[in-house]
Amino acid sequence: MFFVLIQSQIGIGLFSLPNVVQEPAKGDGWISIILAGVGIQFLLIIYWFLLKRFPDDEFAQVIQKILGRTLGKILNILIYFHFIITGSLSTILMVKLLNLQLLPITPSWMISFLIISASIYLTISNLKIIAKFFVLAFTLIILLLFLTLFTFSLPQEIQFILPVGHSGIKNILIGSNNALFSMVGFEAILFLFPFIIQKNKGVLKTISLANIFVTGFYTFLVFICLISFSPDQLNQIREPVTYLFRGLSFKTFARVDLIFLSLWVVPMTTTIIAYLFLASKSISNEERSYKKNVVINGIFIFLISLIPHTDEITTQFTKYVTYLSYAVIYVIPVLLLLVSIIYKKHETGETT
Amino acid sequence: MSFKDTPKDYITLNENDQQLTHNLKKNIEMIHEYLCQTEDLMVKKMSFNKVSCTILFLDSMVNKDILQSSVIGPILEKKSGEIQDVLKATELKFSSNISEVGASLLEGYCTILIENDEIAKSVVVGEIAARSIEEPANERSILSSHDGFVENLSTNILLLRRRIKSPQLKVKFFTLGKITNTKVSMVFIDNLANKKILEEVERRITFIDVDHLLSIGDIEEFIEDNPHSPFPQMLSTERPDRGASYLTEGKIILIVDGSPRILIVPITFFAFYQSPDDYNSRWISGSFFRFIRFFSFMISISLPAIYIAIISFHSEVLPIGILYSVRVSLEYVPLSPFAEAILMQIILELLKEASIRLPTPIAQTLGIVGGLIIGTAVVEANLVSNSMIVIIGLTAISSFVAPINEMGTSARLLGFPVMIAASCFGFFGIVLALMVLVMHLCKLESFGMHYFSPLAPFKLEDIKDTFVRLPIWKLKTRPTDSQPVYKQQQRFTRGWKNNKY
Repeated sequence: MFFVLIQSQIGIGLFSLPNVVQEPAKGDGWISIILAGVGIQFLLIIYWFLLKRFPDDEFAQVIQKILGRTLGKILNILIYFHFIITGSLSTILMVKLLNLQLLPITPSWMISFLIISASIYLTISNLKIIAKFFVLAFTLIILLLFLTLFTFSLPQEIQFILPVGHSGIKNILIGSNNALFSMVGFEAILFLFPFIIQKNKGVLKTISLANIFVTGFYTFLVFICLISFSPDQLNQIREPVTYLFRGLSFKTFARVDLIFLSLWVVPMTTTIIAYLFLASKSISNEERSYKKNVVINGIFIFLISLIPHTDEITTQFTKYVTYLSYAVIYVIPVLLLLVSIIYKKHETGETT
Repeated sequence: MSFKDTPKDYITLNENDQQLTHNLKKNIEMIHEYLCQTEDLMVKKMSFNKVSCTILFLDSMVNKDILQSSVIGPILEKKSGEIQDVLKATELKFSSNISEVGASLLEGYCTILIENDEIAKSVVVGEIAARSIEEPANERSILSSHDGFVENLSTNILLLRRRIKSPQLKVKFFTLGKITNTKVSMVFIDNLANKKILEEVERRITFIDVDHLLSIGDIEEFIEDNPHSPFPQMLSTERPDRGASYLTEGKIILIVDGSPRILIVPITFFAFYQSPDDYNSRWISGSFFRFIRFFSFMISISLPAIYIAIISFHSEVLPIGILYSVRVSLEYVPLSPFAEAILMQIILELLKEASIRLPTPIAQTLGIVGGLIIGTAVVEANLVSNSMIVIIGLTAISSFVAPINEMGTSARLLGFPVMIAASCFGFFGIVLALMVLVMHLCKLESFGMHYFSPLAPFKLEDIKDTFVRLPIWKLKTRPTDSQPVYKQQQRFTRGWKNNKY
């Protein structure tokens, strides 16, 4: 559980994170991340209250129960789109990154085809197996943490982030806003909740821990990037984290960043797997249709990932996805909770 | 025909099941008929209680000395009395059923038919022509016991029973194969093995409906979970100590008569990289060997691929010194790194396949010709680079490190797709291929149990006997991958430390 959440949160967003945060918030980017993490924590608590009312229903049914059939269906479709599009965006960014750094000549459709087929292969099995794989993939994140320790040997300048808070609250908040896309994925809990066997206080603790871990991890990385590169450099570099490792070199490996980037394919793929899983789960009720949906959604994501090529389209796309995320992540759950409180709709009394 | 519960039913059902009569001559006729007038059926006429009686046996199946001393001798001596008391037999069967008599004749019994008696008496006088117990050639050990399973089923059970003298050790027999009637036995510790797995194994075995079942490989393919996986999902071994230790973990052993290898189910991936020797050396060296073996698995799967990826895509990964020496050796080689690697791997497989069945002196010659002459000549002719020879040599050696040969072969074969991926997509290809491989391992199950346990799902308490081998007194619980009924396997073995008199 812990690992599934972490894996769906950490992924492609990591690379550009320092860049997007730095733009408005300058040296205070790391504060933005922490703020974003705090915000997410609030959201998680809201989710928790909502889910506690309907412990055995899948999220799609919860929506229909609260808002009625038609409205519920519309919202479900919206959520489904959110998952598909976020999944596609992750794929696009990942393929772009790989094309840029690792495989300049290989056609991008080939890369996305390979990644998505691998994702389908895992997603088509059940949640238990996906969770098993995510746990293994988590070791790679530990490896990254370990690698970052080496970067302290590089020249760094603490003054880049001083004085703390110099860029103003407004800019810091805008930075948090930008960081949000990198940190989405926690909404997975809405769909995973019915599958958790022991539903007590432990769940909230687990998801909070996952959130704290992700926030801490990101803050740490952004902090390192901020003190390693000057603001001017950061504006030019699109993926500062990889450049961070480029500076590293050992006796036997001259280019750590290449190896790191290749290994990072796995966490990036897990993000796609998570979205593919969520998308398929959100529209399918039974076992058989789930498998079919996984394949269909995989093809969807593949097709969407073929469309945008230029940077501008991608930026536009990212913008829309962020708006959609806002709707799905903030608005819908809060709305649902309010409605369910007002109309006193909950199921704990009925089922027990 | 509807499905029958036990395969044993086939034997009685298929033949026209006749009953013996009072007429001795007719009975002999019927048995002759049942065995298709085979010419090694011996018929010896005698008289007992002043009535004529006949001893029938298959000449090839019985031990003449036992026959003489326990059947023919006593009858000639006593000449009268109750037949049960006269025969000196460890096992005596009564039956009036022609197919049962026939079956026991085929198992090495001799049958005594008496005039005016429709009940045949069968006495076991079978000849056991088995090879003596010796150390298995493909699983040698330095520090562990040196006996191995043989082709005889009861000897194999004896080897297990001698190690586990528990009343809970249970043996279940199945007879499989319509023509061969092969005995298959399932051995387990009754109060330890998981009942669900037991039922599942039994269920799968009863579905086997074949004419001939000659070796353990057949049964393995019939009952394994995913027959298309490159990984073996059952561990087959010739070592009784290994078998016994898995029994005490709550696993189930399948033995096929006529095959010196036994099958252990359910099994995990990591069991293939363990050896009984680990437990007999000091725990530090045991852990070190374990580590070396996993390292060997990684090498044999990915080393050639990494080399190919570096040479053809990412040569900037290497520091300038190493890069220079590698580039120099590549200078005059016309083939692409991928073609080089495939070429060398194929040469290696050819050598291995050719030498494996040859008598030792010729195999040695082959080794010299293949290894030394071809190896140096290929480099001197600039067909393959020096560094590639090093890489392939390392890969080959490490694929032979696996204590169970099957897994080493799987690893070597898996090296090929990873190499192809590397030659197409560089590092990304390798990672992708390995990722799919790990996904596959996560998906794989052995009789409903997780194949990649204790890594996925992650169980910290089982790591102590997987990647490392902690001191044996630390291993207080059994591995949980086969979900044994109870977990604790030892108590305070080193309690003497705190308990001084």
